[in-house]
Parts: sequence; structure tokens; C-alpha cells
Amino acid sequence: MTSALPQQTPGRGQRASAPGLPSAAAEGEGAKRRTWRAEPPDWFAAVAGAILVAVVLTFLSDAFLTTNNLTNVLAQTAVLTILATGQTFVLLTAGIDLSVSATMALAGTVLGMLTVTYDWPVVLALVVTLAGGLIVGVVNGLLVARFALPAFIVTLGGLLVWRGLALQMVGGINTTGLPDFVTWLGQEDVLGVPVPALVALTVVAVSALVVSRTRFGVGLRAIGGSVSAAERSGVPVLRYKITAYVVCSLLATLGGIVLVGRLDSAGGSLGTGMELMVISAAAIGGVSLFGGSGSPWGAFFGAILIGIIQNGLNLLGTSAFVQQIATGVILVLAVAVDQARRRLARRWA
Amino acid sequence: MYYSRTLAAGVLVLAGVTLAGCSSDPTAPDDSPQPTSTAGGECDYASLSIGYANPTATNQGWIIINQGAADAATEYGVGFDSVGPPQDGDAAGQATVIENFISQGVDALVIAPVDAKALVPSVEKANEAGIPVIDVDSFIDGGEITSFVATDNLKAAGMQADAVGEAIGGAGKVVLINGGQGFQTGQDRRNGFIDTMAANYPDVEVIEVQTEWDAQEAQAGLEDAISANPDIKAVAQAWDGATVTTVPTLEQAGLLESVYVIGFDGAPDAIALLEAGKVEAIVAQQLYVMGYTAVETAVQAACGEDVEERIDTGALMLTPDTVGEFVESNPPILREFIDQAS
Repeated sequence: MTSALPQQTPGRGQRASAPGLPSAAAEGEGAKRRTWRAEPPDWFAAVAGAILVAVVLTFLSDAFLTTNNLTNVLAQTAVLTILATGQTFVLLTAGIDLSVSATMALAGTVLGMLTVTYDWPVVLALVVTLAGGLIVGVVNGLLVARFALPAFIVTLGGLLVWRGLALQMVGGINTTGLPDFVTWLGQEDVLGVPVPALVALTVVAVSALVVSRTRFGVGLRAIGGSVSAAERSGVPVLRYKITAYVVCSLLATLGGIVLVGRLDSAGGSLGTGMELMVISAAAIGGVSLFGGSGSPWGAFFGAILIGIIQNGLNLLGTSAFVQQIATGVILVLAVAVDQARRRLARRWA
Repeated sequence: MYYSRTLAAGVLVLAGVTLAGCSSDPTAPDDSPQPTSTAGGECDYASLSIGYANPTATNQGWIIINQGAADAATEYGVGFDSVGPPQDGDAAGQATVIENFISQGVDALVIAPVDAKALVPSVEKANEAGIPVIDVDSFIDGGEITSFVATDNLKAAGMQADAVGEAIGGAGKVVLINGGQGFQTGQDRRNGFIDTMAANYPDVEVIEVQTEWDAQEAQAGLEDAISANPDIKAVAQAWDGATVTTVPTLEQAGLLESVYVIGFDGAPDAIALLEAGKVEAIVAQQLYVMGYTAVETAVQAACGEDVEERIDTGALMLTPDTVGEFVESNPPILREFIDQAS
């Protein structure tokens, strides 16, 4: 984990001073603003990539640059954005949560089962669903932070357990005909903007404020930089780490609610393998997989870049294999660009 | 994804019906088992043991297939053991299950493979031990397979294409949502549809959406296809996970009333939508018959009878007119699933 320290770019906020001193938050923000022009943000590569791809697609397909298509992209990437934002909290601590898509599937399945099969009132079902997400997060967080098990293993196990639990609960039967409120969340528009996109943007904006402006956010980055340094400077490491996993699981749960609303279908096989796309979105958006740096806006732009590529390839009618290849290449490219940017920044500093 | 494999099934009893093209007549599987008459009384069923290596897929399709398998075993009164790998898709785990069956000395094996290649060595071990191998649902690419019991997906997808061509009057744009093209099932359902459409309805333009059997990909792909082609007349899907999400997508686009929607599988949630009038038709696999036939064939092979190498368990065209009969012809569990799903 401490290996992340040398990677950190000097001149970026509180990391340039004592890593993670919560009291350095205000100063850190000031420093960030001062160096803004000298150093592009973490998510620079993702935004540049998205613009580039968008320009190319505008020439290749008449259907790309239309209001209808662009709102489709926003709606299509909403769930990925929400999950990648949650993942960002965990990645900041130099952790990882591979169980997000399984947690999402569990949430969607529980909600579908309670509302469709058992006709529960939607509010009660949502409370139970969110409580389930809370439990998943607490379990992940406790095992990683309190019992010091590797996050990779804990959440890999979780991936199997939560999805298995979802399938077992309903015996593999999918449900359809979800309550109006849930399908509203997933499908409707408000002033021409899809509700799922509004939910995703709200999640990103609030999360970005939390990460950059609160003691908690600063503490998370400090933990990702160096746990011992964070402890020395008074960051409540255990509590913050557990909270990061809880936030991640709760956002995965929210993603599950929005997803089943969008699909009007809930079941244990929802989003199988999507965790890799979630981590890719965050990484493409400049969130460091080694902890300590990154922003929810990065997760958002990473998801948008992936979404635009998939949308473009769909419009052009290419195969699913090509889509996988493209996403993989972009992932490696974006992280390479990001690393190069960090190296340059270090040299100039 | 599993559903695809799931669905790679089919039922032989109905092959004749399907061939004749009047596939809208669901034949009940009731009359299929005649245990005592088949082997001429020579074979002592009670002394036989059948090992069924299931895929541990817990989705709705496999539950019905497994139920058919268990019911056949009960009907014949054979010893029956159904074991799956520790998790879905775990080929190594399934190989272990098969080896255990071989060392237990089962009289016949039924394998629902999670992988076409990885299980070939296991089949070869069974061959060496002289144990007949019945391959159900999805193809095993090697070893000596005594009988392969599955839906003929090429043919079933051809039925789907014919139904679409007829419904839209033989001309116009049609979206086809494909499953994973890395799977034989996915390829067959695509090729069966495309080839039949090209041959019988050359004026129909097929717009393909590529997915890896993922509902999210299916929905995004359909939205994008509609963006590029607002004048589509029908949507056909390679599995019912996509069928279910096509309904809200078309509803949002204001196209549900005008667009012909045809599914593939006969999953409970899709059947519920058909009964609700939101889906026009479904090419249904005979999942129960497939499981039943696999074990029945295993029993016959264990008794030393000749069995057919390829048994197509057939597909049925479900429409509002035929769906009731289809559900009735299945075990009551299907109706329970449909109620649970909607």
C-alpha cells in the first residue's frame, strides 16, 4: 500500500504536505486550485478520449449526435456511473470491491421478489433492499478493515456469495412488472433528462464534494497514501475504511434499484461480470488502483467514455467481441496516458 | 448466459410437428413415458443407477430441465443422483463430479456440460469404463457421445424468422438481439434466423444487436438500434432475458403497440408478458421434455438398447392462442414460476 506514495503527484493538495492530515483539507483545496492550470485533473484523459470518440462517431454515424441518442447514452451509463462512483471510495483507500455487481444483482433480486412475488409496498421493500446493501458493506468492511483480510479475496468471495444468495432466494426465477416508482427511476424523463441520469449525476456531485471537501474524503485519500501515516495524523482508519465499503455497497444497491427499474426485470444473473467494467470506468477516469488519488468525476467520465464507445459500436453494428476489445484497449490507453501525465507532472515539480 | 445454454434444448417428440410447420400445437409430454413397455421387461430398472452431472445453474430454465430429469428417474424407478459443480460454469468441478460418478460405477451418465471442450477428457474416461454418456442441452466437442438430447436451435430460430417475416408482411426492418457468438447456441440461433429470413423473406432487413447474453447490453443495443432505425417493425431475441427488457424499451419509445415482439426460450417472466399481451409470440423450448428425455435415453442405453444419436426435443411457437395449452402440458411448477415472476 505504501508503494502508492512515490506515485503521488506533488503539488496536488494535501498530499504535497503531510499526507492526509485532516486539518490540511482547506489548505489542500487551495493548493489544488493554484496548481489547476499547471496540472490537468485526474480525469483529463477520459474527457479527452470521450470528446475524440464523439467527434469520430459524429462523422461515422448520422444517428450519433442527436438529442435522443445522447440522452440514451446518459441513461445507459447511469448504473455504471453509480457503481463506479461507489468503487472510487474503496479504491481511494487502496482497497477494491469486486462484489459490486453481485451486490447490485442481490439488491435488484430482493426488490423484485418483495414487490412482484410478495406484493410488498414499495417503500418497505426499498428499505429492506437498502438494509441488505448496508449489511453487505459492513461485512466487507469489517473483514477487510477489522480482520485485515485482503480486500481482493474478501470481495471475490462476496461476488460468489451475494450472487449465489440472490439466485438461491428466488430459485433462479426472474421477476417483471416492478412498481411504478421503480420503473419511474429507471425509465422516465424529467425535463428531457432521463431520471437514471439525474440520479447518477446527483450521486457523482455529492460524492465529489464528500471526497474533496470533507474530513472523511481527505482521510480516505490519506489511508490510500499510507495507512501508518494516516494513523499517525489522527485519521480514524478503521471507521473510515468500513464506511468506504458501506458507501460502495449502498451505491451498488442504488444501482441495482435503478437497473431493475430500467430493465423492468430483476434476477440473480443481472450484470454478471460487470465488476470489471466498473473498475475499468474508475481506472479510465484516473482513479488510482493503488489508492490515494482520484475523483468521482473521474468515475463518471470513465463510464461516459465506455458508454459512448459501446453506443457508437452499436450504432455502427459491430460485434460484441469488437466492443470488448475496444473497451480493453481504451482501458490500457487511458491508464497509460494517466501514468505519463503523472510522470511529467513529477518531473516539472 | 446460462439461459442460453439452458435453452440449447429441444424436444424430439415434437420434431414431426415442427417439421410440418404447424408448430403452434403444443403436444403434452404426458404420453412420452411408457417405462414398462420399452425394454420388453428384460431390464431391471431398480438395479440401475444414473448419474446426472448438472451445471449448477440455478436459473428458471435449468430448474425445469432438472425437474424433468428427476421425474423420469422416478417414473422408471432407477437410482438417480444429480450433482453439480461447486459453482455455475466450473468445468473442473464438473469433471470431478463425473469422475466420481465413474468410480461409483453408475450404469449411465447424463451430462449437462458447462463447457464444450473441457469435459472431453471426462467423457473419454467414461468411454474407457464402458459407461454410456448422454449429453443434454449443450454440445460436448469430443469423446463418444451415446446420444445428444437438445433443441435444434438452427431449426427453432428458423421458425422464429418465419413468424417475423409473416407478421410484418415480408418487408421492413427487423432487430435481432443475438446471444453470445462464442457459444454454439448463440451462433445457431443467429444463423438459423438470418439464413431463413434471407431465403424466405429477402426484402426484410435484419439489424443485429450483439450481446453476451446480458440484459443490459440487450437493452442498450435495442435503444441504439432504434436511434439509428426509428422505422423498425419487429424485434426478435435469442433468449428471453432480452425479451423482457425489450418491452419497457419499446414502451419508452412509444413503439410497443406497433412493433411485433417475439422471444426465444419460454422463460416464466416472458410467458407472463405474453399472457399480458405485451409480447406477440415466443419460440419455446421443451425444457421439461428435454430433461425427461435425457434420463429416459440414459436408462435405455444402460439397458443396452439402441438409442438415437441426436434427439431434437423440439420447439413450439407460443402465441396467445397456444400458451395456455403449453403451460398446462408442463408440470405445475411452470405455472408457479409464472406467478412468481409477475
